[in-house]
Amino acid sequence: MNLLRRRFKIAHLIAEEFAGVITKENQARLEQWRVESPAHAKEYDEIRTYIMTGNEHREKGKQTVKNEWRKFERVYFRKYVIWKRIGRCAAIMVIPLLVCGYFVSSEWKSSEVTIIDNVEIVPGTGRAQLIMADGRFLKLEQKENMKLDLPGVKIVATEKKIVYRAIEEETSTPKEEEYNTLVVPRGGEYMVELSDGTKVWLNSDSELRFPITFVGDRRSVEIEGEAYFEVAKDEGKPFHVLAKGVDIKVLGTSFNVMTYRGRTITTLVEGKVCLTYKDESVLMVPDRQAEVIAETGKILMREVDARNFTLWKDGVFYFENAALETIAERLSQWYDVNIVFNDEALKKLRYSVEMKRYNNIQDLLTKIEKTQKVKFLIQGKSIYIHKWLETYDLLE
Amino acid sequence: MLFIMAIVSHKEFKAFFETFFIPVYTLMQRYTGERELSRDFTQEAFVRVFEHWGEFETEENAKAFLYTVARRIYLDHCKHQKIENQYQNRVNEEELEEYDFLKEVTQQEVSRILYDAVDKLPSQTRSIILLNLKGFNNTEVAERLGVSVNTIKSLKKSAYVTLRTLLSKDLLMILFVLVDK
Repeated sequence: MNLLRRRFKIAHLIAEEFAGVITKENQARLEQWRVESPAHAKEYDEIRTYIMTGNEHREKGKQTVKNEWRKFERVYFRKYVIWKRIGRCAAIMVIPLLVCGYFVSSEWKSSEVTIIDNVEIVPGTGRAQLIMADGRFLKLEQKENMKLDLPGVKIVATEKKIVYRAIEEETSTPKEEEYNTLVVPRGGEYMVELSDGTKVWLNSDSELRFPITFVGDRRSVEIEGEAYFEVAKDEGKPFHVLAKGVDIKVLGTSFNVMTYRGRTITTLVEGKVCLTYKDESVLMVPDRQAEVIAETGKILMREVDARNFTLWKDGVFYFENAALETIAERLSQWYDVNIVFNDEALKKLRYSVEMKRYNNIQDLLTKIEKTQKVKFLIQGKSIYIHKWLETYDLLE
Repeated sequence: MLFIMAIVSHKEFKAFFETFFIPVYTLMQRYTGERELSRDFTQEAFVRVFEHWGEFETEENAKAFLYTVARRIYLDHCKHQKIENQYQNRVNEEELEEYDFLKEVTQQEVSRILYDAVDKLPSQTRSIILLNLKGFNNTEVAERLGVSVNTIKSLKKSAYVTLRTLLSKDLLMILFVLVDK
């Protein structure tokens, strides 16, 4: 360690000398080190050559640092990154609120509660944010097309999807992969076509990180939340989906992935995938579902009708004997509402429901209410679930 | 309050990361000759520093830890490889390697300190200093940039003033980066 610290000082002296700003005193110190051993003198000359010849790549280096920092930040400053996003959104939202507040304040006094109650609950729509490799943020919800050119790729974004098209050009230098991240908020859905032709549908509250063009002999993306993949065939370049530590290797196929409270659920529709978690691997065939539970490290396999798990992308809510807790969770993501259980036992009730996703939330709630086990009370953007009481019958 | 502290350490660590990523990355590339592996090792080294962030009293401590741990990561990797390849371990190899390590670190540090300072100069002055570093004399630089030798001389004078201030503050570089932004 002491040897290293002495080197830091020497390095500083050499830098001063090369910059032409070294003091006489420091020059003498450096000279002393230089004549201390022939190895030092040789080393000094090497550093001079290094400085004289190198450093054409510094601009490229800066880009690398940026990318690497983003990787680090995403893991170790996750909360900070989230707060930064919230901060940005909040800034946009606070201004209209202030304006509204000003106009409404005179009428507020008489009807404080009802204003909150008037908030309309609407189904999700095509909404997403794109985080570019350089940290820029793009909101993807505008009506007109948006075009972007990045190195090696053309991007067109519309209200519902974004398409990456690789530009055919033979670049001799091996490129580094540049990553974009698509963030779909609660109450949103979005589709992306990657530069290799793979299509990915993202459900509400999901995130996909992918390279703008695929470099090297494998294609690799990361997912959090829920997504349906239709992977373009390219046997020379296997496609990998990373979902919370689960590696799903694909050749050309379609499947659904969902990460959810420490679980990763993969449902295969077509083709074959190899799923790996830690040291365990399983080969999946169509209509099989693999559930990886992070806590126990186990992979559970079951047979399902895979199509039912991909209906969301075609605008259908489909629940088969699902716990009310699960249904509530999915509804809250799509309609961006809070759902509160007033009675824990109600979470375990099971329902089978099918409904168009773009319908009003009341439609679905009414269907469930018909079983006369639960009652939903809507207050603004919150939905309270109560136990069904005999008296409700009288109200009907 | 806790939130504000989180931002401060985020800024601090970001500045540290941005200052030392390239030197460590270059060092790792010299060792492994491989970009992806080097990037992983460098990331890993910063993770280790991050785990102890707050225990370092000076930036120099953090820096020394960073370089040392990066080398350790590389050596552990080599050991692992050797076991896999069933090679004999040579005990004194690490000692032989240490001088090499000191040499590489010195080189990277010179380059980092020098260019971090030069990068902060105004663009024309910076071009002059960069050409000087490549071994061009004033007349040659004047010709290349299409200005008179006297202009070069006066720009260099102001460059030296800036560089002297920057380099004497090198150890406070993190603070400087913060103020700069």
